[in-house]
Amino acid sequence: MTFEPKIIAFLCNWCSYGAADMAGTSRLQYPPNVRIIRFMCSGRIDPNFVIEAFLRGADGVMMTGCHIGDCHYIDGNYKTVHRYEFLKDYLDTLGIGSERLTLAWCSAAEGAKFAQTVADFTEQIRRLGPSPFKERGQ
Amino acid sequence: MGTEYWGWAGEAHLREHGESGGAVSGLLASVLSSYDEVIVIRKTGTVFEAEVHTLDSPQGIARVQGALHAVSIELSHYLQLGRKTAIVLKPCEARAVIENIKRNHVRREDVLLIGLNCGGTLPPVKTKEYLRSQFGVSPGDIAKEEIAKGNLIFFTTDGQELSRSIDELEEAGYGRRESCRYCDVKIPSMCDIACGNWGTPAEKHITFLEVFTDAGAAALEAAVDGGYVSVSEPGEKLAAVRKKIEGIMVKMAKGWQEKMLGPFMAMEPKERLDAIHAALAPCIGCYACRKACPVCKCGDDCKCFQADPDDQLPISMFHAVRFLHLMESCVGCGQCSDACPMEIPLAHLHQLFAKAYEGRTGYKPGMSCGDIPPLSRGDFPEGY
Repeated sequence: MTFEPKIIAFLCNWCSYGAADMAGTSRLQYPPNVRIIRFMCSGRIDPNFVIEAFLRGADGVMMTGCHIGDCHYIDGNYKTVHRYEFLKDYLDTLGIGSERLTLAWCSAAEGAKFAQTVADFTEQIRRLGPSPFKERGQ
Repeated sequence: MGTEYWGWAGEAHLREHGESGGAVSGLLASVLSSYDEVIVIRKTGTVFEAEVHTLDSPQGIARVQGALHAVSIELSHYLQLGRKTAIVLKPCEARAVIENIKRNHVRREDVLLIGLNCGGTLPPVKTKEYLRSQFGVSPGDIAKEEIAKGNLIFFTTDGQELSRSIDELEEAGYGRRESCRYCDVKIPSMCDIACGNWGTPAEKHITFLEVFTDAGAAALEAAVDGGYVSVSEPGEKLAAVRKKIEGIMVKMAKGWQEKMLGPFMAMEPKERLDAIHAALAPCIGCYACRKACPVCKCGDDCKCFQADPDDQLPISMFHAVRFLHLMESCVGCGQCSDACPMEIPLAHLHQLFAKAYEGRTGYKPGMSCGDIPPLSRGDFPEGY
């Protein structure tokens, strides 16, 4: 059986979820490997959620939100950036690898960018292969 | 760098009793009236037994022990929010207090941190075993222990002096606790005052004091004015010797880091994951590591508790979350390893994360109250 990446995407309600909506209404195609979870703000993405996603078998995790300066809550996505940087070091040390995590900004008008980001990231994970956790038979 | 002094206790009996001139005892006597609590440890039996003690009278000071190397108590657990407390600490304990201050569990202005220089502590069980097997001495017969000039020295009750080089001991698997070997903070510069016997004349009873903060300077001045402590300028040569000793010890610690954490970091990512997984496999989910941890103070609402310990995940969420939280706060005190009933080298694993982060960003937990914990940052991110 060929490997199909399982990707968890955390989307913020105001921009990136709007972008995913836009991609849908514009009939844009993007890989069906992504499972979307909506948050009110990307600043709500607790690092624990990312870790749990990996532990529960995700091959990749996407964190997406509004562009810096466009956050609906003014500076919620500043926190996202700091957590993302921190998580990259964590994943590298743990041995999962930071390249399985990505951060992307998509405004509600950027449906095409969202579709492209998902396509690119899916390709990247496909190249990396299954998450090392998965190979342990979990 | 702080202001340096040589100091000794004003009262003759404290000067006689104190490890090296009793300047710390004198300081404690002086702050007794101006603080709600003075927390210290005192010996209860042999050099392997001590208890946490709240000092209530000047008479009690004679029983206070500054540093018992073979007792690993974490005093920072005993600080309470809103109590004005003076406390005598090793560097790792002091760093834990600073981490607690950053997270508002303690207020900086409430505490007077009297730090002790520390070259490392000893694991009690192994040290007792070593005394029996190598020297043929019963641990109960040890009156005093000391670490000096790279040697571990035991004094028995009948006046014998037993000495071995620490390097030699550590090659043989004894010696200091593992977390102490690679600890690179020997002089607690985050304290108000750091005290120790490095950089003092050998035969005279004198303590080397380095004052880092205004609160520390005020406490020392009050002690000098009250006649509890006498101070003088330190000898220039010996002050340089103290710096040199610190330098040598830090260099040795870096060597141990290389030796103990290096192989882990050199592994392929997947190998490392397997190694971490294998190390955690014996975990029985007792939470003793968390209970012993001086920086983990979220209480019962902590996110590491919200996971089921029997969640059947490749690494339990409990450990995964603790790795995350301690990556920005682990002070490397080694209490978790000591507490673990399954002897999982937890301090090693936590330091692996903390040192990796420190290596990339330079952020070292517990060094300054002004540092913002990375996971609490909300400032404008440069470059995004």
